[in-house]
Amino acid sequence: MMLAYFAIPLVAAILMLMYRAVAGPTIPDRVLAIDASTSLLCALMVLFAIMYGVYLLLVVAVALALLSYIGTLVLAKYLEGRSVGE
Amino acid sequence: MIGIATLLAYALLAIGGFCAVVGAIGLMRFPNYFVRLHAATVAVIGGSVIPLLGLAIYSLSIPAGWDERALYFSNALIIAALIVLTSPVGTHAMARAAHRAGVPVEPKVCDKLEEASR
Repeated sequence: MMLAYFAIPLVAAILMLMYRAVAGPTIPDRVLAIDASTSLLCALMVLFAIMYGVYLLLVVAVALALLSYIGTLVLAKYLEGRSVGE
Repeated sequence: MIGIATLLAYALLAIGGFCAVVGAIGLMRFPNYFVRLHAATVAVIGGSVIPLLGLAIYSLSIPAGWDERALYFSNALIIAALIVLTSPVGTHAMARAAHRAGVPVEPKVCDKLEEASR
């Protein structure tokens, strides 16, 4: 199946983003790398769901997109004022 | 025989893979945080939303029932819309918070936000 070859650049990009998430000098670098790799993982999960016919992975991808947004906003709030939930 | 929709889906997936790799290389190589935000935008919008649109087109031609095809199509479009709507908000909030938290702007040319908030 030709769809499997398109997973290779996405996985390579996620690995390079993981390097930045581990070696990033500041906390916003890590948050940015995790956020970008989560979005790439959503596309990868939809690709695998179509490839293998497992439609439960679509639910995981929707939840992952929403959780990445919530996590980024909470960490931005934490970095800005050092207090969450005001 | 390969259809025109499948060919379009393959083209979108190839563009998305290229944008993902280019954005990830930029996020590895760029000098400071505020420059890396541009590469992250390329990686998210170009590398995740465009493949999702391609997968939505591709899922209309898989050998399955119409209900399963509609499930894949609608879910891929919903995830693409979620990423398009939520990624700029998170990036903007993180950039503002990082500037306020004192992340260094190392090769500095011009910093209007620092002058304005002084």
